[in-house]
Amino acid sequence: MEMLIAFAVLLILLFLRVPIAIATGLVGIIGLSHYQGWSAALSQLGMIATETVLSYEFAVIPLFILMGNIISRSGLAEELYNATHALVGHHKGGLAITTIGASGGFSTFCGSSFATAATMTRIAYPSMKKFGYSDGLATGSIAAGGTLGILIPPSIALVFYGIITETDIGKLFVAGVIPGIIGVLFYIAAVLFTVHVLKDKCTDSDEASFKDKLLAIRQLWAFTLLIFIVLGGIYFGFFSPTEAAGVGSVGAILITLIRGKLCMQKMQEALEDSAATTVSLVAILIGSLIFANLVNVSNLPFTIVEWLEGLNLGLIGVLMVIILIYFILGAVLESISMLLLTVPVFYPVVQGMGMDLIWFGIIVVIATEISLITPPVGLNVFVLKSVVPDVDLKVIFKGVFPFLIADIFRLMLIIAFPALSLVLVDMM
Amino acid sequence: MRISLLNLMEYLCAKISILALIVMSGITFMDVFGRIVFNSPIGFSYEVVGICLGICFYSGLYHVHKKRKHVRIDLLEKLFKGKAGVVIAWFGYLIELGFFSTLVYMVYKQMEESKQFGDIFMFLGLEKWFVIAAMSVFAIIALVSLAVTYPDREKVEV
Repeated sequence: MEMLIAFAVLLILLFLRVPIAIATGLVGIIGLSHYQGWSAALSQLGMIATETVLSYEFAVIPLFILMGNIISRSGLAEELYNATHALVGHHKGGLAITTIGASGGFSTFCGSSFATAATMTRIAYPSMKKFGYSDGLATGSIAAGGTLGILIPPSIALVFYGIITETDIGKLFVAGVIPGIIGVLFYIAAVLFTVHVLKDKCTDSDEASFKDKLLAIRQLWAFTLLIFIVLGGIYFGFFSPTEAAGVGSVGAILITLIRGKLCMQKMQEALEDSAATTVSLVAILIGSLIFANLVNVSNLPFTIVEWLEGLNLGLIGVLMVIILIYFILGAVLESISMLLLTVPVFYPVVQGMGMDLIWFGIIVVIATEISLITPPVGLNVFVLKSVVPDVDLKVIFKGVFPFLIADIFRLMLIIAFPALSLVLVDMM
Repeated sequence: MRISLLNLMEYLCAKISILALIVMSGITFMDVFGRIVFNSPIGFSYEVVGICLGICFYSGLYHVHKKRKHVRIDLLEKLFKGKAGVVIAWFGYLIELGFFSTLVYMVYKQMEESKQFGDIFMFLGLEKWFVIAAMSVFAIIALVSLAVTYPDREKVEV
């Protein structure tokens, strides 16, 4: 009962625009004081506010953010778009496929679904409109492509999941690779379905010459090498995730400087943005860790386990309930806060039922990803709407629908075949 | 005078936050490079990176408070207009101020405890309370920033 009140108060505070970090921290402290007294609750606040920010492991957050910010400002999005366009742009629906491919590539570096959607809208939307693509397909492919950023490593969502559940972040990154690639392939299938079966409007563009294709791909070699070093270093055990993030950020600075793509002003902006984003995210992390302590102290996960055992749902049934909760919450909460509020409750439940936490992490992040394009809220759709205000929301949601179905298929596939998430991890 | 002092604090905090980020990135890279290429890692790099994260966070809080950049749920934002909007903005602000003041006090208490127990960083040999004291100072400055960025009635009512 106490925890129900705590969740209700938390949601009220969040809807009253109290910062997520403050709302979670405040509810956590008041809740802990109920169970352990004020003195213990406040000392936990002091402890978490100092120990969390002095932790080497948590430096993975600012370093990956810095890498993403540097690369985002180096014109990579345009280069990725041009390269993918040169390869597949001439096929029917090729520009939408280009958008999906470029979004997948860009989000690998950027790590933010919103930034990917906003950047790709500016690059891809005018091009698709020029070639007569319908608003639905154009905006749908951009909104859906933007969601790839939350899973494809290095992913900030997986970092937060790893911190909360004390799961190896490197293994989570590796586990996200195959589901991420499947996501790109399924989205491409959704584009093909839209243009060939639903006969959505689009015209073909001219095929690039072989020389142009080579030139477009050649532009990308340095960043491709960097991402292989970062993820390969983690996979083969050369680096920890924090070290990989450090190498990635310095590598990104060096590459962009050598290629003359980063002036001092852009560098300054990237550093300022990275510092501000780090502060916001670490503040949320502090609040969430306090709230997670409350969840643990309240024994809520055990109560839920007992309740679920009574229902005899089995692991898959429990997963379905959890996914349903994510879809509902996704309509009102943004992705990282949703993860940080729910994971402390759910992970002991599935862990108690013998589920692999890496597999669960991938499922949770995909469910979160889907919520970014699910009506009525779908935050990626709103990001897109803010960049192209002339397109009606209904049109965007209609355009997103085939991608939503593709995502649900992918989620079912990942649940049915855990090996898709775990095979690379097992080979580490 | 008050404004120029605030501007100076903002400028210094922003630069320190960025510097901490650069040091964090550079030392992590050098540690990996030294370990892989010369088989000679930097022993104290973990501790320096941790310290830099702490400094980056607390010095960066000034800017985030001032620009109201904390992540919020804006779902019902359009409903909060007029007098109701002002009341809700002040409600959220006072909660923020109360919570953050408590946090600043608890960071200070943590520093006292650390000094009392004589915690030290193993490789650097530095007493931990020095770092927590620096974090406390930045946290107090960030509290000032929060205190002077109370909700603007005209902006909220529009």
